[in-house]
Amino acid sequence: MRGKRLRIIRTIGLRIAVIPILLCMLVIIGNALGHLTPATVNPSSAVPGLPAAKPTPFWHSVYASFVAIGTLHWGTSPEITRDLVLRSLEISTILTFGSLFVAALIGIPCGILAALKPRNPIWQAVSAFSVLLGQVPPSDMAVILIFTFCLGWHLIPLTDGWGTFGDAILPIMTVACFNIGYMVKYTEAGMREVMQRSFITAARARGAGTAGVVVRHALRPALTGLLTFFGPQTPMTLFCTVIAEQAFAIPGIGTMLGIKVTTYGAPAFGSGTTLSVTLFIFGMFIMVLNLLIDIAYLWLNPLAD
Amino acid sequence: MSFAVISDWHERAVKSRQRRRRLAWRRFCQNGLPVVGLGYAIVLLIVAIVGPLVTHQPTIDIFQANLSPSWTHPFGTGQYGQDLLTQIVRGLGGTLLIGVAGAAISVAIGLTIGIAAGIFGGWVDAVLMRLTDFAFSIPTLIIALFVVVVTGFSAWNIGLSIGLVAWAGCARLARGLALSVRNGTLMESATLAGGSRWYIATRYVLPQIASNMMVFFVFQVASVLFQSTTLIALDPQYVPLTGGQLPPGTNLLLNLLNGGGGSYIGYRWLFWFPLGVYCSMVIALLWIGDGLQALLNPQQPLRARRFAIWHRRRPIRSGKGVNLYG
Repeated sequence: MRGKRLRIIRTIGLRIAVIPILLCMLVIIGNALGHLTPATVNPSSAVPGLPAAKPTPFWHSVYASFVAIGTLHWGTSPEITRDLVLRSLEISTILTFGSLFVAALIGIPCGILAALKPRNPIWQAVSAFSVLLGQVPPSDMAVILIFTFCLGWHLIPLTDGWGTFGDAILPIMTVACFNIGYMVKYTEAGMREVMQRSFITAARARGAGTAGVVVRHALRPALTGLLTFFGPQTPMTLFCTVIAEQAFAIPGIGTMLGIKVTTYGAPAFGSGTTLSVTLFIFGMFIMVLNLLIDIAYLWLNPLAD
Repeated sequence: MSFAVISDWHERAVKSRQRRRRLAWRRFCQNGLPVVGLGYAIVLLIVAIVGPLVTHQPTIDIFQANLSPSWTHPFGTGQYGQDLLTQIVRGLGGTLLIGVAGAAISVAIGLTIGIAAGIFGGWVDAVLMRLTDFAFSIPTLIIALFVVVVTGFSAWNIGLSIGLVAWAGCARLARGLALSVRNGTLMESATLAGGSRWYIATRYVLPQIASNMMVFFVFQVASVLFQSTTLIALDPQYVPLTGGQLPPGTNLLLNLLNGGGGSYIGYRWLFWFPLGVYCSMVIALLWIGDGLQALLNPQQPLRARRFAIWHRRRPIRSGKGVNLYG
């Protein structure tokens, strides 16, 4: 047992040690891509008749982006101060993790019930509906939620921006809807598979009730399949967060970085600093999320090394 | 041993192959939904191919703007009086192109990397798998966005950009499958017969993992379509490179999907019809994928045919007591 715990700690330590290296690679890749823009390859002058400005040399721009990252000058304009940057990071963290929490809170029980009651039409309908829910694009899901809950049923006051608890409900739901779909599907599949194993039969034979069997014996192995699928989905979750921020006018990192393709248009983006900072921030989020997933996987899976 | 016995053996092999195919088709049909999805996907494909040939670019007529669905305009008309059904029909091809091209490119890259890692093993495997891990932990869609900006906004470029960054899952799957094939005796016999690495990869490994890759491809088309909707929601068409104009050939269903939200009050058909077509398309793909998974799983028990109206003519089994080898 102690050996296993040590192995887990060593694995996690290795993962954490690799993160800064990967982030540095991302910054370099961002600058390399920035040097491929038409503005850098074929520089043109803004004023006709004057010679075009020389693009920044590659390693200078890499240095500049490391300085920008280190000094928290992450925005696209100088008015975006450190406080705003930290606040936008906080908002995006709440949005991402809150949506994951809500999705797990709704998706996993629905998946378990759909697996336990294969003949019940209600839970099968819930399972099918959640798959549909996961396929609706987040920009459209935001519209549907606003018009249903705010303007149709008047359950939630219509607001924009960030500050109160009410502001957070709909954006979190928008991102959560994407995750609920596959959470239900994979929990259901995992649960169905696990419930046929012999150790479940043994637990039942010892007199455990259905709830006890599910919570104590079946849940942990059933969730490992979900977690392995969930790792590759984290970038998509973050992108859904960006779109939810746009739809509800929330000052998160997506808004701060001005993630629209217009940002990457020629002169503003010639040095690649904006792209590399964007890649850095998103890469950081994704790597932290993946690390948490790895830890959860090691904790859930009894066979994991 | 006579020739008659040999021909009988061949006939049996053909029969058993036919029977296996029939059983596979029954596993595919068992749920019912995959067949519906397949039919719907075929209809959409035909519409996407034939539609642009039989329709014209929808005309702009502001006196016909925002009409609700009627017999002349079954899906209503848009902001500038264009017929929405025509727009959807003409935009379907580009949308399917995004999905299929993106999935094909990502599966091609992932398959190459995965098989190379699985067959070569050793340090090649280690390097390629670290590369795959890296590809999992980077914000791929931002790079895809960048590729769209540099190459210009079109259906093909969107598919290309997503395909170039979304190969990691495929690589991991292909490596796992290739490893499972490598550890079998078939690979040893191929090596002993003097097959080169390339020969083994293309003739031995690829055919064995092709069916699983087909399933992955179908799910990947759905995934690429979802990613492209989020990409397009960030307005990549208003780029200085294209002068703020939509380039020709970018009449996409996904653009309609993006523009419908603003018209929700009052003109709901502009929102629901493109969304409905998109979602039904993706759900049909998911159903087909589920059916293919069932098809590839021979262990799955088949239900008895409840609705068999006629009995299938079966040849009399003559072979039970006959010695096959003469």
